[in-house]
Amino acid sequence: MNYFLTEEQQMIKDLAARIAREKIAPVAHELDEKEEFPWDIMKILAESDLFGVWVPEEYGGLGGGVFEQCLVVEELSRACAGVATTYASSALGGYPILLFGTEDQKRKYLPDIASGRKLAAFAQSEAEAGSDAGNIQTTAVLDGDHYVLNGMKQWITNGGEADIYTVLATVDRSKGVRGVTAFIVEKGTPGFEFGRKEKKMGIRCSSTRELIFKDCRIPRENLLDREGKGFLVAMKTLDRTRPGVAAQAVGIAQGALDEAAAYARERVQFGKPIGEFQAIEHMLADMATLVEAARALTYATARMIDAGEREFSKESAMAKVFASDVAMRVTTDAVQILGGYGYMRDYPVEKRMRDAKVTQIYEGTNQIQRSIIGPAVIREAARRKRESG
Amino acid sequence: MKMVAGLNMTLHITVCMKQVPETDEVRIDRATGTLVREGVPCIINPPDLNALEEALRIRERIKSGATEGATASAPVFTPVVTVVSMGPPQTEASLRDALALGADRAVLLCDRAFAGADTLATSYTLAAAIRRLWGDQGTMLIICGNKSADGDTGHVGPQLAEKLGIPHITSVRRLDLDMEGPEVAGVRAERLVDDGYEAVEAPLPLLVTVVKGINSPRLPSLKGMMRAKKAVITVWGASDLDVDAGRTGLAGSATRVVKVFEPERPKSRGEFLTGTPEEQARELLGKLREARVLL
Ligand SMILES: Cc1cc2nc3c(=O)[nH]c(=O)nc-3n(C[C@@H](O)[C@H](O)[C@H](O)COP(=O)(O)OP(=O)(O)OC[C@H]3O[C@@H](n4cnc5c(N)ncnc54)[C@H](O)[C@@H]3O)c2cc1C
Ligand SMILES: Cc1cc2nc3c(=O)[nH]c(=O)nc-3n(C[C@H](O)[C@H](O)[C@H](O)COP(=O)(O)OP(=O)(O)OC[C@H]3O[C@@H](n4cnc5c(N)ncnc54)[C@H](O)[C@@H]3O)c2cc1C
Repeated sequence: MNYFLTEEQQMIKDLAARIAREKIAPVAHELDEKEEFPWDIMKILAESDLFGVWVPEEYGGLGGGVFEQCLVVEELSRACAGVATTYASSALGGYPILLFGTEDQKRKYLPDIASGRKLAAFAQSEAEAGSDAGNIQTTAVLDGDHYVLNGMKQWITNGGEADIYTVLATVDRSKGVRGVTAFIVEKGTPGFEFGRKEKKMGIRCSSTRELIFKDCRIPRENLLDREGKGFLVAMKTLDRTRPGVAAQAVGIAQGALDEAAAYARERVQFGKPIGEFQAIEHMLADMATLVEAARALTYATARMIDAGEREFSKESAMAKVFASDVAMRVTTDAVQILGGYGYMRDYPVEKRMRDAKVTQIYEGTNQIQRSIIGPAVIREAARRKRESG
Repeated sequence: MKMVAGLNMTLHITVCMKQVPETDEVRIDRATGTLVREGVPCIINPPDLNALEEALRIRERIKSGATEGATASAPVFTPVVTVVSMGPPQTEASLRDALALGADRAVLLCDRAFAGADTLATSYTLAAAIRRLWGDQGTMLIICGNKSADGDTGHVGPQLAEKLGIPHITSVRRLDLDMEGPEVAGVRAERLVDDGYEAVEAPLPLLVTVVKGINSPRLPSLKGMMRAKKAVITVWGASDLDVDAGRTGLAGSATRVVKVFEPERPKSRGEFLTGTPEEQARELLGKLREARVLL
């Protein structure tokens, strides 16, 4: 489908696609097997200016938005979703600074994130606070000019590798969600350490790690927005980054579809290519239709956000939920079309199926997304009722 | 011999770049005996990308003062990378690609009078352009590819050096700048030869031709691509250069392509021998005797 990209968007997409094809695809299998953090590729992405597509020009970026970021994530995901996660998580860590940071904070951190000189990360989840983000146990206590952090974060993408962390902690546990507060913490701050590195089902080259805070003193000016606003910071950030997870899902699914279609043309059983059996043909038809629908919803949402719409939690959740469910189904079907080969680790589709799964889990599980969409639908019905009656 | 330049001079690094058809299988029109160019997209001659990469790395090394032997003082040379190409108007696209990769400036030599040039006329015209570019300011390093993917003669680099009266080193697989404090005294190069490499030192000004293995070219950056899109490419024709019209293009070519043909494919087909190495050797020997190649 033609999405009528601007010349600049086409340039961004083409460059990301070229890097994916020439630099990422050849090493994706090896990165997965070795669970090795893709620093070489991060360096290439940095030199190509891709880390800055969503950052305004005054902070060293290219002045694009959510849509440009989605174009990059989708192309990278066609080659390796682990690389794409690593890349996208830097934006996830950086967005809170762009959306809620002071001018000084933006000038201090965004240029390094935009150039890719430094990676960023976003640390919300804890052992007891997954979907229930209000239950954060990590504490931040004001002591003179410093906040003192204590506690542990779990499953933080880019943990250990990133230099800049947006961290959610509570200044008052008794206040629940209204105690949650966001801070910027730099790697190397005394009392800030890294724990276990997880072994994962998919996106295995990405780093998922514990963050440990032991009397970690950070300057007071590293507070993001105000005390008690951390939950809002997180929600507004995720509203803007969930289309990126959707784009990741679209890229994974497109890659799987491409491989399945190519295989269906070539694999001969009962004297003809399996693609000529209607059962396979119809599977491919459904896969292609779903991928295009997921892409269309993702692009429409991203463009709506960039155009300045104020309220987009529902659409952002819809794009994420739909595209990630599509990715799971399409990658499962791709494995089916490749038969036994599909199940083998020497063929790339089983990796896509493993990678797809996480898009239904992180940045809010798909159950949680539906819990955002559902109430919004009810609210809209109530508003219609009010307006008509 | 070494050349030490004065204060605050420009180190002109010029990359000669040729646009070639993107294909390893150059096809020939049997009727006209010319290359089939229709429908074949054009790219930068692959080793010329390595030449550009080497130029960009030298510029970066000098700017960061990271060159071997460099002292802490600021570099005396300001390196400027210029890409020059002679070719038809569509060569501009390749020059923009070069700008996107980081070249400071691009010059296109484009004129009907330049068309049909052989290597003699090509190097004559390039020499005139380089003289105009440099004037007598600063010092110079010219980097070419070792061979073009289509013409494949490897003549242009050495001929150009000869026309400019400067030394040249061909088939360079490694290039290091020789610094004396902040000044570039010359280069040390490893030059590929049949059975290894030769280590060669030379002063500037100098021309080198590089092989593909010297480095791996970078990809363009988005900011570079956007800059390149807006950049103005200098276009020079015969009237802009100090050239004698009879020495450029077809008129200035000492050679004439009389006939271009595809060699006949050999009629006899290959044969595969099987078995252990000893068995294969024995069978081969027998066949060679049979064919009276060995007696
Ligand atoms: C089918 C065919 C037949 C030919 N027959 C002859 C012949 O009989 N006699 C003859 O002299 N030539 C011949 N040529 C070559 C000639 O026409 C050239 O294409 C041209 O002169 C450059 O030579 P080259 O391609 O061999 O470059 P090479 O000498 O192989 O190129 C080496 C380097 O020189 C530089 N360079 C070359 N051309 C340019 C350019 N236009 N602009 C900027 N830099 C450049 C590049 O850095 C390149 O990597 C033939 C070419 C073809 C395709
Ligand atoms: C690879 C990976 C990378 C990650 N990276 C980061 C990161 O960079 N930063 C970060 O902060 N976090 C990160 N996470 C954590 C991720 O965001 C959480 O895993 C996710 O929010 C779910 O939390 P949980 O795992 O604790 O599941 P739980 O919240 O315990 O949920 C378990 C199950 O219960 C369901 N459930 C829970 N509550 C409800 C409800 N109210 N209604 C219906 N169903 C419900 C869930 O949908 C799920 O199916 C990452 C996770 C993974 C796997």
